[in-house]
Amino acid sequence: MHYTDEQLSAFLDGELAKQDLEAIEKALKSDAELARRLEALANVDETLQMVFDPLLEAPVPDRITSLLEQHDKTVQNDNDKKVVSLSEHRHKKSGWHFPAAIAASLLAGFFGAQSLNTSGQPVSFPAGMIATGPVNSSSALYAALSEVPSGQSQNGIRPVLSFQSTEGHLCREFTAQKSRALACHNDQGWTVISQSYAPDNAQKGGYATASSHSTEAFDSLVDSLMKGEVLSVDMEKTLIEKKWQKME
Amino acid sequence: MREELISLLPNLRRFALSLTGSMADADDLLQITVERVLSKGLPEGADVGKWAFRVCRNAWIDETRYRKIRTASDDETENSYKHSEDGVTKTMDRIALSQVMRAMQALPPPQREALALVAIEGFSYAEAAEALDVATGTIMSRVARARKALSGQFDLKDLLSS
Repeated sequence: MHYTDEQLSAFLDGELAKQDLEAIEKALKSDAELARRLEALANVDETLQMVFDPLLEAPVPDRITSLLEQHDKTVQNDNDKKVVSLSEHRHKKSGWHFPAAIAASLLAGFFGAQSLNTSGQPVSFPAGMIATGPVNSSSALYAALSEVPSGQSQNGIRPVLSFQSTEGHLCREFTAQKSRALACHNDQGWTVISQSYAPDNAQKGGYATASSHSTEAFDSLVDSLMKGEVLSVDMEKTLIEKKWQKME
Repeated sequence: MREELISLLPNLRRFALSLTGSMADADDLLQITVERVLSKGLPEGADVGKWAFRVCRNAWIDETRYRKIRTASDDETENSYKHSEDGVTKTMDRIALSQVMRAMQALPPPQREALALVAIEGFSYAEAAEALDVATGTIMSRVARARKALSGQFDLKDLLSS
């Protein structure tokens, strides 16, 4: 009696009817070729499990577990909207990645000796856009970054979330006019690292669903700079009180 | 649902890796899966586990259809195994790992997803059929063809001695 690969495969999976199963069990005792074929198929499963099972022990990246934790907080705080849902914020996340090394060097460039604008003076920029570079400490932007919790607005500036960067800097993503931007803090104060011009939708608190390349790149930059999770409301409150001195 | 989803993440991640063949792509796919489950919710009476695998598989189809998923290096995938200290990685050398990944990637996607659910995730044919929205008999033949194809490409004993 010849058994097909399909029957042998189903035998391995325990998916055969009782009588077929018993027939194959019986045939295996006397048919060496059948036993060899079955073993070859069983080896595939064993190999796959040896390769894939260790993954169950590996930690899942924080950016993914935080989606679920953040979602939970969002539900709890749904009424006062104090926490911005990361899943909502990142709903257009794609496979596009900003290389971490470039992100880090971008940050280092702004904070290093060769900063593009070390004067601390405001730079002229098109309406609706935010200039990158050091933020004037007497500006409304500087005040908002220092004092306003995420999810609240002051003078049209709305911090969205705060996080610690892989380089140890405290950073905040915010929206202002028609832009989304990222500012990080060092001992000289706030510096705008990157900005993304997002016409019309940013003001409504949502972002364009058709993601432009630039907003995608911006998301990716934020993702690659972020070390761990978005800072909690409490953590942010403490940092505001401590004037954004680095966490120990 | 949230807690159940968190406990399922390692399994979903493993499934995502078996589909994409690269850890970076698997994590992107996992993230999209979680976002979709959270935003669309769970249909009445659906089992979170089975539903999440279905969402993951559909997201993978969408991603590969509309966007060319980037191909990560083997190094990146191997790095994710650094956390595992159970001797398996010591036995399976780098060549074996990438050989298995490549062999999986060479399977037609319908066979790959059926094999991943049944042979790696331990789904029954009926469960896999429901997740993939095909007949049980289709799962049976796809799993068999996938096993047959892979059995010709790698042999456990060869891999362990390499």
